[in-house]
Amino acid sequence: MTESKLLRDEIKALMVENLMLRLSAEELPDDQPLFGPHGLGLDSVDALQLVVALDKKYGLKIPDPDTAQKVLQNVDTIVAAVAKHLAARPAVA
Amino acid sequence: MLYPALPPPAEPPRIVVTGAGVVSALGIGWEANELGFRAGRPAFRPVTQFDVSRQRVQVAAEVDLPDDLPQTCLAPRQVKRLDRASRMLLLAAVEAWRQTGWEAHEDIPWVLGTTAGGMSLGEAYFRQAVQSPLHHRGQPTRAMLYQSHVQARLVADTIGFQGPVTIISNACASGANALGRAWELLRRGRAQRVLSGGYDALCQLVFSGFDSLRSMSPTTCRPFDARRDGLRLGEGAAVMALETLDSARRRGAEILGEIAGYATTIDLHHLTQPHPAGDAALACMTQACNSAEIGPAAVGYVNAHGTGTLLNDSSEAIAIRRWAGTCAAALPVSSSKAAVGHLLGAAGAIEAVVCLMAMRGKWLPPQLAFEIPDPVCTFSVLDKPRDAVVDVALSNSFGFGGVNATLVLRRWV
Amino acid sequence: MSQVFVAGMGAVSPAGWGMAALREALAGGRPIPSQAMERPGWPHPLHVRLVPPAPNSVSFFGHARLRRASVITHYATYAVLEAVARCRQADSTPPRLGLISCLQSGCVEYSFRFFAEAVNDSGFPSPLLFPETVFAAPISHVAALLGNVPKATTLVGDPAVFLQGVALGCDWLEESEVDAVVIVGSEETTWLHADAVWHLEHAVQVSTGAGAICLTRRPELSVGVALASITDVHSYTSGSSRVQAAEAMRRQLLSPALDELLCEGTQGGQRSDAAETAAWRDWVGPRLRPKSILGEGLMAAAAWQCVAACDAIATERFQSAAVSLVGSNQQAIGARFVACKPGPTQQATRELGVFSP
Repeated sequence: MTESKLLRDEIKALMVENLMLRLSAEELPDDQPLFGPHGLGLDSVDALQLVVALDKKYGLKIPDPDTAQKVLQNVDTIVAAVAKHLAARPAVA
Repeated sequence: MLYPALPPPAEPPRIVVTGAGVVSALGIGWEANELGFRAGRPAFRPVTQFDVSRQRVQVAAEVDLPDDLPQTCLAPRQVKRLDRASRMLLLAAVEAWRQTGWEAHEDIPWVLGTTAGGMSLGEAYFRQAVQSPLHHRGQPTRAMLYQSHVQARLVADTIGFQGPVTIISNACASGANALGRAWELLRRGRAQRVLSGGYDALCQLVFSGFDSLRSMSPTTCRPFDARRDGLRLGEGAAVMALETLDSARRRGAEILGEIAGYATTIDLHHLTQPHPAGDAALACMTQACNSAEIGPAAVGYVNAHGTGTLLNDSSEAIAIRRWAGTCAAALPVSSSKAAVGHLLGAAGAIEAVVCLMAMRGKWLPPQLAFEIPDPVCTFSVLDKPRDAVVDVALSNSFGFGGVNATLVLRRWV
Repeated sequence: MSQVFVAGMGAVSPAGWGMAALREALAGGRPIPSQAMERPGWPHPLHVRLVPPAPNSVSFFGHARLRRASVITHYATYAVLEAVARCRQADSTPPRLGLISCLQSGCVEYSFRFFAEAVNDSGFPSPLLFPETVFAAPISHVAALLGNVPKATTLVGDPAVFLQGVALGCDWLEESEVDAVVIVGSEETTWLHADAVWHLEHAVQVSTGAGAICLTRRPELSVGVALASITDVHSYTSGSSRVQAAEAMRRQLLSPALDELLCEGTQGGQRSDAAETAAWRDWVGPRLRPKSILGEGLMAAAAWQCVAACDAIATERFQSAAVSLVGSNQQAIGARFVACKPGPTQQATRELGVFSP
């Protein structure tokens, strides 16, 4: 299982647990919008919860609502942001 | 009997206020608070009650509690056990009681609003239970005094009256709902006198909660300003002695004002956010005016819920515009939360007292930190203190969870 | 004041989800087995009685407003939906419902989790938990789920507050702003909450769940039960002890007919039973003691006493039933329910437990 598949599954599990979603990590679609009328029905409190959870687990800082809107569009955009953040981190000696 | 209850009087009596007690960051008592509200003095400072070093916002409108409490019927040991919230409630209740001149009586109902009650004792209970699990000393007392109805009874015993206690907890509307329920009891002839109001003390759980939701302003609380970015928390208590006009006249009591109307509705839109068009708030103001048999044209001032958050102020501004119609442009509006913060369970009560103070003193409280009007506000936000004779004021309180309340207050002439 | 009828009951308890489970457990008379709840730092666990997992027939968990809600809201929602089922089926347009939530402990689960994160964590408490810690949260969700709710409120206090809620509901019906009103009492627990109850009385074992009663002024919606009376509030004050208040409440309920069922709140020989035991020491008629079977459900237990009394009449086992609520530290209030002609829809089936929300 490639490293990015591992990370994707880990992030999906984090989302299901933190947002108390009524579906399993496997059932969580990769590209469906999380917010808005055709989305998963998440709201601003869910967004804040995700921001806190991603910071706690990966140290990814999402400083303001505009950044959050871009990063938290769907699972794909979250995985991409976390992967980019982890790649940019100095390798621990 | 509570049921079947006595038939209500043919003509519902007028309900007047013959005593009022106030505790806020502006000070202890009517006078200190009147000075602060009239001049428009912000009372925020860094929080000292608990550790806020990791919080995004570290400021609140904290009360400076005096060390000595008014003379009470409680034994010193009992007085020592009173937590901050109970002490604030006691100070406000004793002030209202002394002003009204009622003698101790067995059936004066005590109707109160609160959201956290004795939460600071709950937090102390948590710490001991987690950090020293086998150390039980003091835990039963904390578990008992943490409960708001126990706090209310202790305060009633200190004054010496014995009527039933009712605690209403509808988040930020609790204080206004409590005064509203007291008004209903008097209107229905269930009582001739009722002591009512609201109280809440700052506590770490609630402060961290609002901070985690990023609801608190990192700059300053500026209700109805285009750059508003959140609320500020406060703490305190406000209590009113309410009675029928006949009862007050029989005693020759001084009358501070009248509660002329009340309504409560619920906004089903979201747990923490009001409906953007303000439908439930509009219904609440309309029904409150109907119960007072007046229309918007008769209202000379609105003390808005006005938390300073983006969503509340825009939803409320739209509701006020829809409700006031052609009267909106000239309608003076301000929110006291920029001065003493959001008192949660006490907000509805202290803001009703502010309306009484203003009408009685012939002034209107300014809207602090109001520089750039939000275009959604089509009413006259009071940007500086003003002298004015106002006969009828509205006080709005809209709660987390959607319960709304509006009180109609009238100047007593 | 016009006559008020009972249009439905609902219950969630350690016996299960729904009135049928409650009825069966009370009829069986055997205490529901308690379970161990680990108490961090103690050599032995606390003992509690928890509501079992919900049956698959319960479909409202998918509702947007309930996704993040804690179990106390699930219990309250189920009990309210069960209690209002008859009213909502009776008319084409959904009735205007008033909702009155009664709590003693309230949303203790998320309050505990949120505060633990706030003080222990690196300053990252979960924003999603905090809104659900508010006393007003459960009824806010139930109102959003039901839809046509012009008025709702939350009362907090000791278990006798449930009858304060019923009396408030009668006032709301009298104002005719609502067609029916539902009063729900609910509780949940954590080890810290069970620990606090233990500190107040070691022998008491906490239970979780909810109970709801739906009231209306329309006789055709009655389940064959009418509200006869609610006593005054007999407060515990410096001038009137818990025993004196319980006895004053008993006297005000007058001396019910000997074939009347007494639904009282004793659990079996604990200190907290003393006042109520004394108040009813001379009662020789039939008794029902839900807490001796379902455990100390606090406000939920007060609701179970009321729904059990109504159910005993609706299923024609008794013509009348008295409810004795001797609260833990606030007040004593009593009530009486009596049989009346049930509404037409009711005659088809006496089985109230058949319900899937």
